[in-house]
Amino acid sequence: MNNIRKISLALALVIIIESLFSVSVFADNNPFAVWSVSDDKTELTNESEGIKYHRYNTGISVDSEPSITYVYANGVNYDDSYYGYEAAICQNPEYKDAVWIEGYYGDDIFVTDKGERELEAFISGDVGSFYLSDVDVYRLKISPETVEELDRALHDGTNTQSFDVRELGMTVKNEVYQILAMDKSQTFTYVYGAIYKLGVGEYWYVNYYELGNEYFDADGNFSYRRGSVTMTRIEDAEAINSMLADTSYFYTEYVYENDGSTPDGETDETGTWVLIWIIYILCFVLPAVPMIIVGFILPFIKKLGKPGYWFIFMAFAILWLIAALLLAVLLIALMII
Amino acid sequence: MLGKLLKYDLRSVGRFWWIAMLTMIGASFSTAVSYRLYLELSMSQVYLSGENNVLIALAMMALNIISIISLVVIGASLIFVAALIYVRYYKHLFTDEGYLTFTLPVSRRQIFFSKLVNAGIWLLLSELVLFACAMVMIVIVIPSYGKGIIAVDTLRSMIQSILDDFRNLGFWMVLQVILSVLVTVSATMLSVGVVYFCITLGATVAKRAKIIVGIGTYYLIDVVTRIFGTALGIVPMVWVIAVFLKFSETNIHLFNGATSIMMLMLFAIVSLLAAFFHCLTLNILERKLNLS
Repeated sequence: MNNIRKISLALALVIIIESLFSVSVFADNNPFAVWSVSDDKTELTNESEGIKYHRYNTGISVDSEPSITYVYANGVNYDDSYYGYEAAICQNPEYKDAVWIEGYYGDDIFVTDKGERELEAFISGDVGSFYLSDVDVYRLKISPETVEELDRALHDGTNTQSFDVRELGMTVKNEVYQILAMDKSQTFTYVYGAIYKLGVGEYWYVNYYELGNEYFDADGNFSYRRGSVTMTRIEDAEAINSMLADTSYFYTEYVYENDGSTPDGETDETGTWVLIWIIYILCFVLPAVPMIIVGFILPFIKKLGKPGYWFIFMAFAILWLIAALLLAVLLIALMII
Repeated sequence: MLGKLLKYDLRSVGRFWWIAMLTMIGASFSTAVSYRLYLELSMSQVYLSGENNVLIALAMMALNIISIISLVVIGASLIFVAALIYVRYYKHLFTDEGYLTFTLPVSRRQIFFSKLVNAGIWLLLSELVLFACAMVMIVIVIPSYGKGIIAVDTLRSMIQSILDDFRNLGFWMVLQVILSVLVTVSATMLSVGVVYFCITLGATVAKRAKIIVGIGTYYLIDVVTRIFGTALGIVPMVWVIAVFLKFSETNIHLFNGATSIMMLMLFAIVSLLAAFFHCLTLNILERKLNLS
C-alpha cells in the first residue's frame, strides 16, 4: 500500500510539473513582437528585439509615407484618443531606426539614436529625394537640380512678385501642387515648397521651407490668414504641364503582422494575378476564338448566304482577338511594374 | 445605281427629318428656359418671403409641366425619325411596293445596303443634334447667378478643361475621340441591324400579323440580351474596374493605352454583333423572301 501511494504521489507530481512547464512554454510563445511604452510616453521598446526608441519632436510637420507601412500586431496603451484600444505601432520595413504611432492630428515619431541623427539631418536640409505632388495623391519624382533651379530663381529675384496670402487663398481653386521632400530612408516627408497655378500656363513657385512658423497653422499646413510671400514665376510652363501629366498614383500599402506577414517579407499578390488572368482569358480572349471559327466555317455552308458577309464577321472577331492580345501585353507590363 | 438608290432613300427621310430636328431643338430650348425659370423662381426672394405663394406655386407648376412636355417632345422627335426609317424599310421591301423595289436593276444586297446606310446616316445625325441640344440645355439650366441667361463661365471652363486634356494627353485624347466615334457608329449600326432583322424575320416567316411577330422578336431579343448581358457582364465589369484601378496607379500612358485598347475591343465586339445581324438579314432577303 505504501508503495502504491508513493508511486501515485510521484506520478501526480510529474504531471503537475509538466503541466506548469507546458503552460509557461505557451505563455512565452507569443508569435508577435511585444512592445512597451514608458509611463511618460516618451520611450517605446521592442521587447522582442531589444530596441529602444525615444520620441522625437520634429518641430515642423513631418508625415510618415513609406510605400509599405508595416503594422505590428501588439500595440501600447498610449493616450485617451484611442478610446481604450491600444495604439498600433507602424514602421517602414526597410528602415528599423524609426517607428511611429499614427494619430488624428499627426504621427508621433520615435527614433533610435541613429534615427534621430538622420531625421535631424533631413529636417536641416539633407533631403533624399523630391516629389511633385497633386495634393498627395498623384506624384512624380523630380530631380534635386529642378528644385535648386527654382530656389535660385526665387533668390535671384528673377520674375518675382510678392503675394498677399489672403488673396492667394481666394484665387486658388484646388490648383496647388506641392513639392515634397523625402528622407533617404524613403519614410518621412515634409512639404518643401509649392507651385500655384494662377492662370492658364501661369505657374508660381514658393519655398515653404524658408518661411517662418507664422505662415503655418497648428497642423503644419500653409495658412492663408495673414502675411505675404515672395513667389517666382516659372518660365517653362510646358515642362510643368508635362511633369503633372507624368505623375502616377501614390498610396501606402499597409501590411499587418497579424496577417502572417513579416517586416522583411513582400506582399504576396500571386493569387490576385492568377484570378485576373483566368477571368481575362475566359471573358476577353476565349469568346473571340469560336467567333473566328464560325466566321471561317459559315461561308462554306451554302444555305447561309454569300461568303463575303461572313468574312466581315470573322474580320471583326480577329480584331477583337488582336485587341485582347494587346491588352495581355499591357497586363504583363503592369505585373512587372 | 446604288448611288441613286441611296439618294432617293436619303431624300425621302430627309424631307421629314429636318422638321423633327427643328422641333427637337425648339423643345430643348423650351425645356431649358422653363426649367431655368422654375429654378430662378424657387430661389427668388418673392418665393422665399412667402408672399403670393399660390400664384408662384401655380407658375412653378406650369413651368414644370412645360419642361416635362418639352422633354417628351424631344423623345417623340427621335422616335418619329426612327419610325420613319423602319416603316420605310418595311413598306419598300415587304409590301406591294416591294414588287417595284425588287424590279430595279440592283441586287438585293445593294438594296439592303442602301437602306442600312440611309438608316445609319439619319440616326447618327439625330444623335449629333441630340448632343447639341443637351449642351444647350446644360448651359441654360445651370444658373449663372444673375450674370445672364447663358452660363458663359460654365461653357468657358468646359472648353478650357477639354483643351487642357488635349494639351496634357495629346495623342491619347485624339485616339480615344476617334475610337468613341467608331463605337458610336457601330452601336448605331447594331441597333439598326437588330430592328431590320426583326422586321425581315416577321415579314418573311410569319404568314399573318407580320408586324406583331417582328415586334415580338425584337422584344424577345431585347429581354434575352438584357438578362444574359447582366448575368454574364458582372464578372467582366468587376474585372475591368479592378484592373483599370491598378493601371491608374501606375503611369498615365499605360492607363490611357489600356483604355484605348478596351475601346477598340468594344468596337470590335459591337461591330461583330452588327455584322452577325446584317448577315442573317441579308441571308433571309436573298434566300427566303418570296413576294408572291
